[in-house]
Amino acid sequence: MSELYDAAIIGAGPAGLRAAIELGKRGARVIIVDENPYPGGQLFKQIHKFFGSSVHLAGQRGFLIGQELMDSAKCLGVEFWLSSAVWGITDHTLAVLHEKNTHEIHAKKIILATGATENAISFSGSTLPGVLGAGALQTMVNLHRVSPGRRILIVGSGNVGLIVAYQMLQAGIQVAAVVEASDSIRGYGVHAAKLRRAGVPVLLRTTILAAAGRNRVETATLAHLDERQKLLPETAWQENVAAVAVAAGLTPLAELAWIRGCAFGNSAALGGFIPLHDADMKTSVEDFFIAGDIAGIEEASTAMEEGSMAGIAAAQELGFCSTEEKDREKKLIYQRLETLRSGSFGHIRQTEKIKIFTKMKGEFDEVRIDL
Amino acid sequence: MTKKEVIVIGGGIIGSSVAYFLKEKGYWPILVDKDNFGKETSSACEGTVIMQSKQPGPKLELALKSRTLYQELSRKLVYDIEYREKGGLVLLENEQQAAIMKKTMLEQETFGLQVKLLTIHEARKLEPVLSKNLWGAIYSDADAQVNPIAVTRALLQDVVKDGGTILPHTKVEDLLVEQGNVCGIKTNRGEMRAAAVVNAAGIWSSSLTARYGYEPKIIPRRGQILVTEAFPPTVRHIMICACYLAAKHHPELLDPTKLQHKLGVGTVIEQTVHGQLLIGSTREFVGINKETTLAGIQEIARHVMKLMPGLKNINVIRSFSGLRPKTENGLPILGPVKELPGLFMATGHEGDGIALAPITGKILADQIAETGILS
Amino acid sequence: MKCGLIYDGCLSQAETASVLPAAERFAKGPVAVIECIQDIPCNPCEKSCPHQAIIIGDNITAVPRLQADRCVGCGLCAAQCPGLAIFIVDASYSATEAVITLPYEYYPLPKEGDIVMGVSRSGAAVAKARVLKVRRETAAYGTILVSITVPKKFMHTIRSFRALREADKRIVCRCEEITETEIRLAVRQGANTVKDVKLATRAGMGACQGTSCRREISRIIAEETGASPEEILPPRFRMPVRPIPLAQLAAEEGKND
Repeated sequence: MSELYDAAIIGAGPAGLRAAIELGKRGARVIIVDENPYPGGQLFKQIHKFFGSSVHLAGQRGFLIGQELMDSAKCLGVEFWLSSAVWGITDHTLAVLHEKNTHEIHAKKIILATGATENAISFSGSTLPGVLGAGALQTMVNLHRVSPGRRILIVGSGNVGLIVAYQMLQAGIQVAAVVEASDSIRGYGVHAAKLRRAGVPVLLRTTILAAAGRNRVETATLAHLDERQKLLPETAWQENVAAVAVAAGLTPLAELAWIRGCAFGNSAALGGFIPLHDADMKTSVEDFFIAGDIAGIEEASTAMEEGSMAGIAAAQELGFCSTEEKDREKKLIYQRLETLRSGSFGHIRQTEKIKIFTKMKGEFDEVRIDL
Repeated sequence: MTKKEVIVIGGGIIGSSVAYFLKEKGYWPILVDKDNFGKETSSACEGTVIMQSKQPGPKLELALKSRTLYQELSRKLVYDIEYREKGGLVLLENEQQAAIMKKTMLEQETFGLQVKLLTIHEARKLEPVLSKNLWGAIYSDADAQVNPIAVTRALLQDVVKDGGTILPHTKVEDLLVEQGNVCGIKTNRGEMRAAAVVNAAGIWSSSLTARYGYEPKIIPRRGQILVTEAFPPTVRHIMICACYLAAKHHPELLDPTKLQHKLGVGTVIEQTVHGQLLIGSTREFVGINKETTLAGIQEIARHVMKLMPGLKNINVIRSFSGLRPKTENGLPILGPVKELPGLFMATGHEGDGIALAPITGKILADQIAETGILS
Repeated sequence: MKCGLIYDGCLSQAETASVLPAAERFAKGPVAVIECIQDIPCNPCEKSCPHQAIIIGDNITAVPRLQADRCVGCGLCAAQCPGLAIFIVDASYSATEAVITLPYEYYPLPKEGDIVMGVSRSGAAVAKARVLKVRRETAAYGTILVSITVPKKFMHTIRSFRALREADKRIVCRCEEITETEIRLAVRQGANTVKDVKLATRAGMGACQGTSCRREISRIIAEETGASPEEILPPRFRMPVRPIPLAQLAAEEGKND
């Protein structure tokens, strides 16, 4: 399969699709590969309306945004390989398991938009069926329409935890509580307010001690923490639940970037180790770009902007657009990104992103796995 | 009289074995490693203790002795080293391979290694995953497997239990040489003195003595290996393809235009105690480079599918690679260094390090005792 | 800090080595390990042995000496020793497990079949153990002999047990079923990178290749060593990054030359 593409994009989520559109509309030959059977990344299970500004299609529901991006990309002649897993990479070659066989894709530029994976936490009984990631629960219910049971518990009060809790209520599933170890609600207050109006408690300084049941989750044991996060065992109590959904944050899915030899930096606020990159979304490896959650855990709207940036920067290097055009677009993109990364929720990400850009310039020691 | 201390450089399976047998002989071993123990080649290899793959001659003799020592170690060490005498099959793809191997079989028998030629029909009774298209196989019940990580840890545990010293994160910067005699080492943690020093630093072992005019040629040779998911015991034997042996002993048979031969791929396969398959391996000269490559991974998979189509649905979950210390004549370097009295070498085992680790340790301990360094 | 019985109440490596019977003796079956190294005036062990395998002599401050070839591992000495310093180790129990019989004087008594945590001489968790037998000897004045099975590699390390705690039940690596306690132990024994932990415990070697446990292991290493979690690198990533069936791993030959 020795076809040479201008660009190969791994991951057909909001970042990957936006990158494909920017490259496609400038005339580049683009292939986009995703291991899921449908494009859109996590958008297709997002049945809620998006925040952001109207440029990011905000106010629309996530799955409609996915549909719109995919249609635009297809119109531009972008080739889609779905249900196709990229399992390896060497230089400009990707090994892809596609239609039950490994094929090799060769591309001048590679854009990694692989997103993130949910963090697991361990507690007694955390390996029982019924303990799952909140994102996985969302897929199960919204996409596959399978109910986890009558009553569930959500661990973690970030936006993922709050939104999934709300969507479970919409699907007719009871939410026993949303529990949060820290002393304030981590996600948007408006999401929490929806839950409170429906009578769902959001319990701060509370943790899960154990899940138990015969062959699957039947109960969850919860307990409070003191102001120094020390467990107060005497406060423990049990809830009867059929599932425990863990929303403990996300980690960038960056295996391919590690293997390709990218330099990494670590930012707790952005989800852990991420490939160092510059404002063009270029990594330390020639012809290798990243965009979206792999470049730091953020939102669908920032992912789209980063995808556009990576697509435009790659197009410019390939000769499909001028430096002036790239710079003009870049300025607009960063104006929008700055808005998205402002306010009490966003400013930490802005600061951390700038640190990553600076590290990329070599002012800090980079992290590399040798040996 | 206090016991004599002997420093061993390199905490891989070879260094650990040397330290163990020194301790058994009544010395105080001090084992140093630049990192934690067994983190390099000894944990990036297969665990085969194959007799059939050893060239009839000194290597086969050593291997047979080593096997006896493994039997003893697996009884003696408290740590389960996962030593299993499963028997081995050399897979013959065609008549040409069979003809070469028949000659080798006769030689092997003169060393006391019992081998038996099987038709493919007989071989498939033993190992149903084999392809019908093979010519046959050679069986030996002397072939075994072991877990090299466990062996290293078990030997170290026993060394420590009996009062030996192990020092991780201790990088050797130079030898201590006084009046031409090696009497210790300089490390990032200071100087250490001892009655003798053993260099078991694998692919790094030649650089230390270069400045003293002794620089044995040790070339890193990369072996890439695949790991599969765990599944119930299915692959009952340790298997190697005859072309692996051809690559090892008859390089003239190789066609350098074929990718398989460019990468030196010859299949070696074992199912570990934990149920995972280890499938090797490439043999490449790429310097100190431990990457695994698309070409290497695919070529290994392609070749094993030809031999064992029955494994087609088993998932590969990882690849890894290790650097084998290869010497010019293919034989390990064992024993005292003429130019540097007090220094002993235990290195250059290439792909035979696991099989030969116990006998290497024993030989070195015996040699040190013989040179009159009292314990 | 100096180690040894008079410094921290635990036998040092050298002291342990001095009381262990020969490796060959362990292979033959149960044998007593007398961890009594001081000249205490005491001799019930000598008197308790029906096989005269323990020798102290008339001077009862002498340290007991075991004649290992006479010892049958019956455990009567262990039940009688006022210092609870005698253990019976049976290395012949199975290929991978040994049985340790130890004196026990706490309530509640364990039940046969219970899973407990085997602990070292300093009380540190080492590995899970199963209670094989709970035995009461009439001559022991109430001391109970509890036999537990432990991984063979820990037969010289485990010398007591305690009930399982939450951390012992928390599985961090679900593919290989490695608990938080096992990981903490590995870190305390010097494994200070995720790769070291992997080599020591197999955590991260399974089907998901550490995707679900890598972060937790980093957190535990950070907690144990005081390092910042940001300094703890993941182990090396390798292809294939998804499980791929062997037959589907290879593109057709010649197409990628």
